[in-house]
Amino acid sequence: MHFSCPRETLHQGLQTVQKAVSTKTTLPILTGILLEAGENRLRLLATDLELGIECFIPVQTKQEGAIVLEGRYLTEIIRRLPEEEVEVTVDEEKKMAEIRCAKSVFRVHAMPAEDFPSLPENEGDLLLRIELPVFRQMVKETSFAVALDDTRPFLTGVLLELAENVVRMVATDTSRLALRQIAAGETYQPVQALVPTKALLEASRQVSSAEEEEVEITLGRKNITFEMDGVKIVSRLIEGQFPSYQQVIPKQSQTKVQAQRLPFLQAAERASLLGREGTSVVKMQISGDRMILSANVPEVGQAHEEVAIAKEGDDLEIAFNARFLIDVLRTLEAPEVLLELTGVHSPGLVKPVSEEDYTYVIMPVMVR
Amino acid sequence: MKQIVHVDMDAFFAAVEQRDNPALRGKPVVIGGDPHRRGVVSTASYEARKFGIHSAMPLREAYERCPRAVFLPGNHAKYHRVALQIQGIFSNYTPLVEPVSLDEAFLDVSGCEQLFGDAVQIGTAIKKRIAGELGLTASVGIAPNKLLAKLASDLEKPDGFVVITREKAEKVLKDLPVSRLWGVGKATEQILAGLGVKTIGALAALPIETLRRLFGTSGEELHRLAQGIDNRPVEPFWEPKSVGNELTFERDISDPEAIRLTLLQLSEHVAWRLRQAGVAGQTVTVKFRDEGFHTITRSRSLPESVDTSETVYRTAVELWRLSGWMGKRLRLVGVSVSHLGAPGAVQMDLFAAGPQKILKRQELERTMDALRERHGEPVIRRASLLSGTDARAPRDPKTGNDR
Repeated sequence: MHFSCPRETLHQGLQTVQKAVSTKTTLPILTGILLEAGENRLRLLATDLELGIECFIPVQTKQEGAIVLEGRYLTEIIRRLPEEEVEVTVDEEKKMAEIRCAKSVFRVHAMPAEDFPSLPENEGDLLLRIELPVFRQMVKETSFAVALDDTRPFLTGVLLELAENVVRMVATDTSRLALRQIAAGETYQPVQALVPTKALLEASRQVSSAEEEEVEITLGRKNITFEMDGVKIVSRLIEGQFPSYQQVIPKQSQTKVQAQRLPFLQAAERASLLGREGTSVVKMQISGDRMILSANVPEVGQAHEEVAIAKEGDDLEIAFNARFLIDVLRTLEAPEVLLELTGVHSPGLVKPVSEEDYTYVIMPVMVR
Repeated sequence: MKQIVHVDMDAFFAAVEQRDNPALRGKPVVIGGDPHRRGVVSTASYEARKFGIHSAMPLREAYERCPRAVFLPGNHAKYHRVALQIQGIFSNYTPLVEPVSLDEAFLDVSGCEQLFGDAVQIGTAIKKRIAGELGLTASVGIAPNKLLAKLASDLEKPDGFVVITREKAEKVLKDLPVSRLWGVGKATEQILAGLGVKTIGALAALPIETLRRLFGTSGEELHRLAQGIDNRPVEPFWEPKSVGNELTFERDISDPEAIRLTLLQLSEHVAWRLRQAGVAGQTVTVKFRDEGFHTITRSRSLPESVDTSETVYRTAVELWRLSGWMGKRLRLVGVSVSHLGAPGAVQMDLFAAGPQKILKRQELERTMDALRERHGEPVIRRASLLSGTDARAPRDPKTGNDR
């Protein structure tokens, strides 16, 4: 096998597949990246058996062939080579690869391509096509709310749901829930899939040459596939039942608060400074045309912040984990947000003003 | 110069039992539990110590040494109450009281002369009041620092009263074994023995460079201690770093249900102790030991501090499940909570118990606490704990060792 291409092209290809390289060494072959030189293109493939990423880059093939190279070394070598033509020559018999670029020569051990697992076939039907920027936004606005601990695997992923004429993504760690939906041009059969967050982030991370580029999503029984612009990402689905989230979204509220997003965000960030990362609690006193955010950390001190608001309904005093507020305020882009509350023990709602398709539900904390 | 008083109750738990039950007076009394079951001695009365029984000795061995001793499970709620009374006496003299355990405390009485007299007068007064008001004896040590004060209280135990002055320090320390110093454990002791250093006097003679080379910065501390120098302050706001309990089974068990119940019992006890102390913790740790004495611990930090049995228990079970030790035969199970602080806020859950349920549960735990407070801890239990299997030791998890 023998090919050459500009360093930058190979570097980008490796960046694309790199996140799927296994970091565990239980199956050594999975720490490698498969390189398969075909007619003027190189196929790159990495998989940890949960997630697989495949992409194609243009190269000049002098001799076709396939080989597996250790992912970490390959990526690092290519990353640091100068911006010139890279030439890769592989002796499949001796399992040695030679990488040449300008005045650098590397000879590295290789693994046989036959041992590398192939990506599962697209077994299902095309589920939907969605514009990449829209897809990216949906992922961004929901994925931060997933549970990070792996004790409840079904909460570590994002629910992708098609229902009649909407496409929806929902994520929750049971303290807060983020939901984004978009109206679709067609009517779907209702279907749900629990997608690992990593797969969604990888798919939305792909840079596309054309902004109107679409992501094609295919859903199988066990796998989900994202395809776009020469990149294919296949992920196992998470097994388990996502909680029935509709029932926890409040339908009405007693206090409606409208605030500028940035001042609110900055006040919440400052108020959370005294507490321990991720566990600070901010108390919000909503009354008249202002909202007082305060934090009291006995061993450190107190913080006091005021935010101008427009209020409808009852005055209220309520406390939240600051992290949960900050997360959503940072993610949203709308200049103004709406906070809908009903008493100190009931879930609150955060959404952008004049936007019905995004919902963030946040459970208060009970302060003792 | 500082004036430190160290007060150490004599055979505290046993003494309380003997005080409250005249039939036990003058008899060997061992607190720890049933001698035919697994477990260790928590406290031995001085009569029992004559038979060579000491704390941390296996109960079985204690029984072999003195079969006619009275073995009692111990009533920790009661000892706790008495300890509070003792602390009440201390607080009359100085706010600088550092409790080391239920039966032992340091008092910094420097500068109290105008009010109560010097350290010797205060020490005498405290000893007298503990005897007069509580019917118990304490050994008191007085010295310019914590190290020497603690050594002093130990020199003439029980009912001792020893003053070590700066001048006398060297003479007192000279022939004591190095293990009497703070921070000298088995490992350090062995290294020193390798150099032929067995006594504090010999240690004091070692050049500081040698100790620094052997033990790093703690070598310097060792050097100071050996000279009888100890700059550690009396820390009145002593806060426990963690609250935990563990249980050694009578027989090794593998029945998951029995282990689950043990985790529940331990979690309840730990959470109760947290609430008693008015603190909550952010990290839950479980500890398991198998038949081969192989021990593992698993921890999880929670998003908020907890002091409820429910959360401690749920986390403990989860850690047990994830440990991969679920089917193992176990000898010991432990639960502890660390990263303690003031009890904070409780994050409510979108899907689980509603606020009413959380409030109710908190109220229930408060009621249970009140009952325990009044009648001693074992009075109220979850029904699921009442049908414990025989393998589980019937006594309460031990709450700490009496010296």
